[in-house]
Amino acid sequence: MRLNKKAIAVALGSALLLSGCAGLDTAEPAKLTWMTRPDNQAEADVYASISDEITAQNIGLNLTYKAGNSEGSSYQDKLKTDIAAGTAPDVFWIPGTDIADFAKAGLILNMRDEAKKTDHKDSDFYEGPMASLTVDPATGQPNADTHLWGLPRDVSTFALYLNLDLIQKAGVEDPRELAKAGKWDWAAFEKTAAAITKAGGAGVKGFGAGGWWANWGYFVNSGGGSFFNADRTACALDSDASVAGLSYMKGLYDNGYGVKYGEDAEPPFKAGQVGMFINGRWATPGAREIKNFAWDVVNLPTGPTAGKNWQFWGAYVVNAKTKNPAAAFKLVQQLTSVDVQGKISELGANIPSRKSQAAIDKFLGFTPPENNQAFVDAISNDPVAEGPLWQGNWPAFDKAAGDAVSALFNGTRTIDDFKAKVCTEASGAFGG
Amino acid sequence: MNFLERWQNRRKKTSRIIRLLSNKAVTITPVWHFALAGLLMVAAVLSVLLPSTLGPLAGFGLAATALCAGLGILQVFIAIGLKRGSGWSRRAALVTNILFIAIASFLAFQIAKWILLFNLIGDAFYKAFGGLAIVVLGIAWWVVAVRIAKRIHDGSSEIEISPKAARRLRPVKVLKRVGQVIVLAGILVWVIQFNPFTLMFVALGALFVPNPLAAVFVLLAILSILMMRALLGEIMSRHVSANQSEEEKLAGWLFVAPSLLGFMAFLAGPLLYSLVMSFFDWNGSSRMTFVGFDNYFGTLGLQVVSNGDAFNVGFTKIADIFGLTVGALDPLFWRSMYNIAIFLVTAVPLAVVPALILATLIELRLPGSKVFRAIFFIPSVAGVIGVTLIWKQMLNSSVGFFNYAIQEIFIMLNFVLPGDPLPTRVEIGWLSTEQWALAAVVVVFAWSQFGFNTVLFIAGLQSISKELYEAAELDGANSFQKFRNVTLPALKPTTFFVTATTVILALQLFDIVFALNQPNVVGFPNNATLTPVVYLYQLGFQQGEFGRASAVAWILFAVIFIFTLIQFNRQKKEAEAI
Repeated sequence: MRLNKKAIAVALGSALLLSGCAGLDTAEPAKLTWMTRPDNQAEADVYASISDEITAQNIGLNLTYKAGNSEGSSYQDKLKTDIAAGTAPDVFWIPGTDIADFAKAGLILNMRDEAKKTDHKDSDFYEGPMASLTVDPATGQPNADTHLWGLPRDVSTFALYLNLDLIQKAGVEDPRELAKAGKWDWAAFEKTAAAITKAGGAGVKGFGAGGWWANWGYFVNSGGGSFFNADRTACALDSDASVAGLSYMKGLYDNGYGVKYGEDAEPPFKAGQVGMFINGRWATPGAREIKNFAWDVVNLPTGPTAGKNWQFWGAYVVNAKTKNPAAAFKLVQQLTSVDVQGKISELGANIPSRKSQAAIDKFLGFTPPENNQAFVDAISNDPVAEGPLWQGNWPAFDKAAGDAVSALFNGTRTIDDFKAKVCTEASGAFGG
Repeated sequence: MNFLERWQNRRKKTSRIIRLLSNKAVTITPVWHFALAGLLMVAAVLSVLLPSTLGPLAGFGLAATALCAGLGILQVFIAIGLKRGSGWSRRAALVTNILFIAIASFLAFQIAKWILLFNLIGDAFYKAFGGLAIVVLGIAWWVVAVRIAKRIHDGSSEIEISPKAARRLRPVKVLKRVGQVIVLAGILVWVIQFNPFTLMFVALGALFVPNPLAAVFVLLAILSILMMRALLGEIMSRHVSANQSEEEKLAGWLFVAPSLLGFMAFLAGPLLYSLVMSFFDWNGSSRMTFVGFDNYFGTLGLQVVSNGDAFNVGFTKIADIFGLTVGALDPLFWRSMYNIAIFLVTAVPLAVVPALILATLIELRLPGSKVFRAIFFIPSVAGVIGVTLIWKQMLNSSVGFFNYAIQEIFIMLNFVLPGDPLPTRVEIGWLSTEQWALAAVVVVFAWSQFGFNTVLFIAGLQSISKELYEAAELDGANSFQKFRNVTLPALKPTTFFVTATTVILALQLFDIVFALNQPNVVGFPNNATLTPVVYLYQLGFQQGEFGRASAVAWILFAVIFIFTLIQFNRQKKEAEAI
């Protein structure tokens, strides 16, 4: 039963011929690579299938999808290095706060001229992100006629994830009912947090939040303050309203109602130790794993200024070194189409960035949580769009303000000292 | 003329060229180096007149001009030296040509984008993974069948085996054949998936795209190779009066040259690049601006004033010492140095002393010591980021194991201790409060290091002569005295090595702090865990200040170098004293 050498040679030869035939395609679609940061494996799989589907549509795009590393894995830091090395993809996603740094450094392409050749309309997307995406770096002000740095992939916002069992045990009114009645404000939030902490027993906390800028930033915005002055050229964390918002949040920590500032509040929330957990829509897939208590979401409590929840967003942008800007913009359009946004929204972690009812309906159909509307309401109720610093350095501001806030909440500096020094400390971010 | 004859003829022709070059080496090589000098001078002039022709190197401005001009002048000296028969010039010429081969090949690959072919090959391998998996399966199948067959005929040849064994062997032969068929099928699938034809077309297409600049660099590389052959020829050897020993040395250097080139390209090169970058203001993408020592002054700058006096502009108070106030231009850098100093004096003893104790206990060879030796080594082989995330969970103030354990201990103590009861709910913010955050990092670091250190100490202990212990026993020494007077002195070289490597690792602390802090700002809380490497990462990769980040890196290098030098000197003195 010896294997015939001639037969082997014929088989190998045939295989070579077959492989050759496979490579003799005459059509030459534009070869593009693209990358985004998925929130979970399910999302990564959907992005990969979307990439294959677009290629299969034969619209002149031959795509290769690179899954970026996940949240908290320094996606942008690695991306900047890839760009410097010339190995970054043609199209990639970056968070809204980073648009200015990338644009000012000449790392991404102004796509306005390409957009003008297509049926693209800025008005299809939410105004907040589009305002930041159309800024002229020379003036620091939007100029939609001349500039378009990308298109938003999706938007998100904060909500309070509720442990309904702890709230019931505390004997306080359901925050969802209070929200419906228009009574869900800072006072009600503090009262609920205090009651949960008191009634929950050892280790139970009324609320939990992360240690990054948006968490304390909500209380700054909702208190009527702001990170920056009106034209975003200087720090405004020392304004009375900003300081009042932070004082309120500090009070919650000082009274012991919250998981220690800076600690990851998600594990204790999932363990049933936290009554109310501030987090974005991206936390929903994780929350759906909870089996040991009933949970839902509600809007963040209203502060002295109504609305002012964050409108988080990130955008698909085009690498300044791409060889095919037209095809790259076509890809950006494909990736932000109603169809694609609907597919991603169905996974529950993202809200469509297009003002499309069809896409929002798909988002609302993803339950639990029952109260998905809380996210949609926050997006439509005068949100503060996460915004880049066109006339400053966002990472430097984030670092300086973050250090000052952590010292404030951990009790190593007073509120007066914070008010007096925070903007001096952050002035380096504006070239000061 | 068949293929082999044609090939041999071509080799003869090549040999003739090399022979010719070798014979004329004394004349040709100086000319070549004069030509290189000319090329480098042209590059120097271009860097001044038309900086854009230098591409990314244009950012170096004057430094690029100086480098090109300096190398050009060196080539002139080499050429003159070669003409005069200087041995030094021959060695320098060889180094220059090796460098030119490397640089010209690299530039040719980059300019013509041939480097992308490696990406294509990588992609093709990735796509053909299925076929490869079938091949591996087939090989595994075949190996198992061969082993079964060996057991059946038990060392004797297949002809000599009994009819009974032959009968048993028959199905095994079929199994072997099936394995071979699977391998063959896998190869076929792999070939189809790998698609070598397309790859070949693309490769040929890329190679034959006209690119004059790439062709120039290829020519330069080929000429450099030929000149190397000429320099190594007998005529040149006689011309420079090289003796046997020198020739052997040269051959040695040439043998290590590929590895040396790799070292220079991937380690020394980037290091040098970062040193150069530390004198520039650069955000990683736009043009570099030469700033001299500003990055170093801006990082290290300190001012001391009497209490109450004002600092110069830019200085921020960092400390009060003996009635004086110290200000710094970069308070975060000094905070990171302060943190790393505290870290060093706490983490290094914790990573070294328990390792020594454990190694001694394991060497007592008590029952189960082998198992413990393996267990202690686990932290060294586990992924740092993975285990740090587990530590992060354990250190969580609300649901972490540490606080829970302390709480349980307090509850037990409350049963036995008189007086006010200890708190029954413990919520220490190991990661979120300034007084504990660095301590948490110390614990994680020490835990991750001590296993490896234990293994090193075990190796050290096993190398101590048993006779020393026997002599000590004869002198009436007890266990502690043996440990104090025999083990510790004999372990000094190991202790030095363990301490030195742990100190270096501690000074380079990054991954643990970074993983423990995510997603908070680096150095959280309020810079309590900011280390020099974390700080330079933040400066470079988050704030786009690569020049400043490089300066911090070189300052840290100087600190590590000084530490290691002191340790080496101490070790040397002690060894000399012994």
